[in-house]
Amino acid sequence: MAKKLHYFDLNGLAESIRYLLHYGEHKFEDVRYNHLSWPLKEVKDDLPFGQLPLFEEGNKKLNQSLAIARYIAYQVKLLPSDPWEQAVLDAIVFNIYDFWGKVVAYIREQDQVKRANLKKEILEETVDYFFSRFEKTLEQNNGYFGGKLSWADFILLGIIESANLFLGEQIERKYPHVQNLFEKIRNLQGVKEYIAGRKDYKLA
Amino acid sequence: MAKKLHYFDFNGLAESVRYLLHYGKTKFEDVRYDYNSWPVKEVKEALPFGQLPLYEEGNKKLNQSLAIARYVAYQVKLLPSDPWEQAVLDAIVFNIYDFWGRVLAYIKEQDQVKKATLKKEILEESVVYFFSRFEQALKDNNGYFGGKLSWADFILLGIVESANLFLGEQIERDYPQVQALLEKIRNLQGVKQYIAGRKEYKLA
Repeated sequence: MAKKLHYFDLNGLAESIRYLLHYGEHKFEDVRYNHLSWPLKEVKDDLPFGQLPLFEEGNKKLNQSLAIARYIAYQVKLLPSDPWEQAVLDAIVFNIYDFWGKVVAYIREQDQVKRANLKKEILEETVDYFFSRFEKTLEQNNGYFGGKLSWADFILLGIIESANLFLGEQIERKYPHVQNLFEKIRNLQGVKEYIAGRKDYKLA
Repeated sequence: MAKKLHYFDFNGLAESVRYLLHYGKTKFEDVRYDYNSWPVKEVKEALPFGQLPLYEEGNKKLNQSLAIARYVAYQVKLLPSDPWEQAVLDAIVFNIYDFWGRVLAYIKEQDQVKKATLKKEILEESVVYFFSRFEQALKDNNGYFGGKLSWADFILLGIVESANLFLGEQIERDYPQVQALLEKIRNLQGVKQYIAGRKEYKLA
């Protein structure tokens, strides 16, 4: 069945999904919208809840980046079979998205003074709070969130690359286990070729 | 293995989990903290990411309400076995939580004028946007999000009740399919007895 992923031409919430699909060597149409000219009324009005990303498999549609990512994780065998192990990875992914929520608040803030404060808080407090915990988990689990490669590792990579793009930073720089994990994923078959052919993301 | 759920003494993000556990007639310790005296320093610092709810099974801990709920759903047989069907329910649950995010913004807003505006927006726009879609999904699927009872239905009940508590409203009042679903769940064995013995939640 024909697969399509719809998102902006940015990493954002879809890059982890793109990485998972390329890792699994799944053929899919990677539909990208220019975020500066969004919304495209006829596309947006057709979306289940007005938001990207959207995943299509044949005539079936799915919204919500994490629902899409988890489904693909199952297909590309990056979801453990044990329910508790699945739950542990689900929790990690939600914790990663809680971190991303702080970055989204920064992205949306229009007042430049508040924006600067939010960025300062992220870089001085939030990164440390979340990444010290991610670092420790990786250290205690053989370098991967679940003890071996899983979708949670891909989610971290996509989200951090997005955070770095929007913040203009390298937030993983003090966290060697996180950095190692990223390099490992970027060098996986499928992912490597995709990255090599991808143009740099730019905000404007 | 001894099971414990830790949360505040109101519905919030944990009531769906409590309903699922009672539906499954699962023995668990329902630990509740008074919201007005939170944080209890020694409890908060022992939490993986400083937040409730927390679920414990023996010596294993899990945070994130949706990771907990999905895990309990599997145990009480309210998770479909097909991966696409699971993904559809995951997406619905995340859409429900996106709605809850609007309510959360209202709860957190300190400025009374902004708060009133947020409430107006929720009641006049967000509820209509989300609940017209939930209503349609239920109508198209035999009165349940997944065609038969599943964890997504329980998540809607818990979140709607929390929203109603914090907004002082009955947001499902214009949506008969939603109302019918909520009543069906409240009358399930296990859930019914729990509700009968539960004292009313109050905000202050």
